[in-house]
Amino acid sequence: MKKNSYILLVIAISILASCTTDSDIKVPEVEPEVVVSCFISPQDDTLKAFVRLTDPLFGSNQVNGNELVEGATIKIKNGVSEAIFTLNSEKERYELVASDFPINSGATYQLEVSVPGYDLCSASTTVPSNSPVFNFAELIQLDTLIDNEGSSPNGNFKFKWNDPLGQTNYYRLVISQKNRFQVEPGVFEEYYSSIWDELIDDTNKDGEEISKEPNVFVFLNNGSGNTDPFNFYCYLLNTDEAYFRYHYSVRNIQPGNPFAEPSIIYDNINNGLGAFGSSNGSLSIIEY
Amino acid sequence: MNLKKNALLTFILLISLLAGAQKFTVSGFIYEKGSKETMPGAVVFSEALNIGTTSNDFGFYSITLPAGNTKLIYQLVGYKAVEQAIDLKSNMVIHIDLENESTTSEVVISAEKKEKISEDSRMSTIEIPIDQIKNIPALLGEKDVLKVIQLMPGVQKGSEGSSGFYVRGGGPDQNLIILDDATVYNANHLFGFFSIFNGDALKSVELTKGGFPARYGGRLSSVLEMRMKDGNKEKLKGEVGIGLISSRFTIEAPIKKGKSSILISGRRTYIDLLIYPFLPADAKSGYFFYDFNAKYNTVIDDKNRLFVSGYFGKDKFYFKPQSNYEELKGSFQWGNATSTVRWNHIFSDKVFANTSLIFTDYKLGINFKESNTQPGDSYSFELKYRSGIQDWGAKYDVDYHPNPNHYIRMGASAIYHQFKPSAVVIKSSDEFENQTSVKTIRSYENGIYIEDDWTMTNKLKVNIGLRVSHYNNDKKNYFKPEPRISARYLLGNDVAVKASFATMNQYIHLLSNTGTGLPTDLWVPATARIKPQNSKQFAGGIVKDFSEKNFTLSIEGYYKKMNNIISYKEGASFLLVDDFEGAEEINWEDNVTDGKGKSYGAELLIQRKFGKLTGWIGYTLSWTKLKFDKLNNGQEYFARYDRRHDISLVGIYKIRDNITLSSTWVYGTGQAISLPLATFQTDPSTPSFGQDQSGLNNFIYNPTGEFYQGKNGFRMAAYHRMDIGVQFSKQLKRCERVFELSFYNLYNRKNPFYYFIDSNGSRNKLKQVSLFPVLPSVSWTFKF
Repeated sequence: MKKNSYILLVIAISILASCTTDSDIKVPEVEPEVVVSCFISPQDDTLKAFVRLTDPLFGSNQVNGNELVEGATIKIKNGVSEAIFTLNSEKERYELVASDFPINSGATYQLEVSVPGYDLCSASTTVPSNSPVFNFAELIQLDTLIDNEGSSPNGNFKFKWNDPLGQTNYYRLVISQKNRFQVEPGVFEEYYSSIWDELIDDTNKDGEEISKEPNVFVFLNNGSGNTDPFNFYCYLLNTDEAYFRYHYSVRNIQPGNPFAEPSIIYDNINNGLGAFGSSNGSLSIIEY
Repeated sequence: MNLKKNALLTFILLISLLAGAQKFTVSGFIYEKGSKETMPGAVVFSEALNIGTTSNDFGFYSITLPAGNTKLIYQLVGYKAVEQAIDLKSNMVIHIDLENESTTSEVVISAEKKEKISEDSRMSTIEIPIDQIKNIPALLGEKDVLKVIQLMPGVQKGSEGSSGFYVRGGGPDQNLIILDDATVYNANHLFGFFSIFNGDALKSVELTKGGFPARYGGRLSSVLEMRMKDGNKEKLKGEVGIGLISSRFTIEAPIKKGKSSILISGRRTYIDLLIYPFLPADAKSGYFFYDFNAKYNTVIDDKNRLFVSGYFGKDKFYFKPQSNYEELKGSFQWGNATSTVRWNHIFSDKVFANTSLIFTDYKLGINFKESNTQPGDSYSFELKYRSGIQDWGAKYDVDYHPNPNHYIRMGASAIYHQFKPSAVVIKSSDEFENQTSVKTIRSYENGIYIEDDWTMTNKLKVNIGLRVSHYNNDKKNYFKPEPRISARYLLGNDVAVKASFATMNQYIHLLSNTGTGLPTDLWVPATARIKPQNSKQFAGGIVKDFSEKNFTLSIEGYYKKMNNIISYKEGASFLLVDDFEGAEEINWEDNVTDGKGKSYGAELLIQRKFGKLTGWIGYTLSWTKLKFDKLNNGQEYFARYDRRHDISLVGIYKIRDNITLSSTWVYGTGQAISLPLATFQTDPSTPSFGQDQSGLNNFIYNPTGEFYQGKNGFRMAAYHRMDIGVQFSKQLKRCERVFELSFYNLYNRKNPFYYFIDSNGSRNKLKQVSLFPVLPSVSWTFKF
């Protein structure tokens, strides 16, 4: 159906289309801009930041927007002290050990990023003071029976938590499954799979108990001989608006679909693009 | 004695006062001479008494006048006025036949025309004579009501060639398109390049953009009311048209002369029939559309009339390649069907009632069948997809004319909607693939209204009304009062100022990515979660009739606020909703977001409806902005169809009795679109809480983001185009032949249909695709 309607539309348009020409309209030519992504949380042991440049589509200033800008200086301040991120070339990011610069609930932080040849970029975030916890977090049931070949049944999870009254709250709910696979007899390697990731705001739910029941594929094949329980890491984050909107807009990118609404990526960086945001959360591990 | 004398004098005074105040009613129907077609909108007035009224949608009029001798004048644009002297001693029934000006050689005293927009209490209303629609040059010669509507100020077109229209910043779903009381949900053929309305079968077309009277409800932005011809009650008449891509016919004939008649009209494209034989066997495919109108009407007796009308139309793409073992065929089709049964009943010379039973149905269907009969490798797969909306409705309207100062209309309506957002049936030789997924949503939409067209003083006239609408879906009920008022104040000498206010509610939504009127656009109901749309519109303006020159001038300003309008969320697409593989999982309510809109602007219209040179000059200056919490990061942005300037010039010039020249020129600011100017890699975060969870990014990946100057921050190139046409008519022995030659896009302007970024070569380039170059067309019409 998807294919059919698309093909028919293309046929219809190509029958009628008369010509393709260079547009005579002036397209704005933009200069590369600094793009910063940094999201901090009191729960993190390492703060991470990314600095890149935009790749203009038109004009002569085209750059590689995928590469990390390596000569950037990233400074974080809390009004009293400050710290500088260092480049981790292997992981292609800037890092700061959280113990050197603790992130506290309710505190406000400023980020300054300087890249030679570009204006100083800056942004600030206030870490949500409320760290939400689940009132209820369980894997209720699996939809299908587990067979020896390792099926991927649907797992019905259920979560509940309280929303504080009188303020707009943004949440992110993530379920990550810890898996092991056998690399050689008796030797297992662990890896994590994110099986659920949802952004939720408290519209029409202010001050109420929020309930979510994700129904998701889970992976129930630990490899032969492994009898460890399955672990589901359930994260509940209270995020600030910048964190929420940035992730929401990134999630909405639909590459390759010409009919999808374009997603305008949120930004709150002065003199640049990207976002500096924060979250505060809790973790609940479900064993099965 | 004195007491007796005083009592006598008082008695005589009372009698004389009563006699002086004695009034009687003249009522009847106004017909077209020669066809007995009823004529709505005709003016009936007494010049001496300065009292007037207009005939209603069914040609019925009622006017109450003081007893005595007077003269009534009956007039309608394009028809010769009739004067009727009456000596009013009791209630009278007078039916009048108006003669079409084109069929009379007499001099018409046009200076006396009394149908003046400065008299009307309504505003933001446009009536287009059908003759003008037939004279205006059209794409491939296909006359199109909706494309003529797009030439009016306050109405924007969508993309090139499309019949979709946007009224005062409202979306295409906010237009109530009604054909003989039946709602038409998809008014387009061929993805919007042609509208479904066959001008040969239409009697009148009227567009209301604001100041809505209370009798209309259910949409926010406009009401386009089309009435089908009843059919000639006097003699057999017909019209056959032969064009480049389609042919059409209309036959109207009396069944019982003067009492009942029938009209049948049809149209079909034939490109598929012409090219099918030349297609190779493995590529047999085609496209066609057809539509069919029929109407029967009968005068049962003096007080009762019955009308039965129907429309049926369909578009179909199909393919059926031929092969020895493999059978493969598929089709993609959509169509409307409407039918209306209406019963007029005259309760008294002041009270007229109409009862309508209405059915309307819009369906989109996709069929695909694949089978292989080769021994040892046989299989079959069949898919059927359906979506659509079906309404059953009833309507009861009463017109009451208590006296010349009041024209009261009241009524009630009820509609039962059945929405089918998607129904999928899959049959396969592999039984595991078999599935059926059908979901029908039912809702009820009701309304009651009362309005009064009230002449308060010689200068002040108001149309005041109230509509109360009710809607039910599942357990959710909405009750909404909708106050309406419009007023005109005469400043003297054919000049009037007008103002209006209207509140509107809309209980159904159209989910559309493109806004171009694709058949895949989906009608969905308001629910507990998706609230009804509503709007408030203020408008004010000044109008002037230039009676000697036969033209009118109207300048209007408006401000409209819209709430709870819906849009797909960013990243959502109609293809997702249509994807049968996910039909069970995807709930359309999860794919939409609601927001607000506002539109404001000014419109100028100089119009000449009759004379040797007719046409209009229209100019619109407008702004349309939308704001959705979940689109464009909550920032306000211009709607795609926001158009700062829009100009249309339409001229029809009758050089001689048998030669008519016509031309249109349009100009519009480019559409607002989102054009990426740069790309960059995004870096969303993943919660880890100290654990380095490698592999966690397989769900949230790092997609490439695009940098825009905000949503719809880029303007396409301005649109402009000129069309011309010339019609030669010749009276033959048994019929009249009209030959038309027209040129669409005369100066071959390459208007952008869409843009794309061409990344071949060292630098990206912005390319545009244009649809129609200069397109000549010819057509022949035979009228008998």
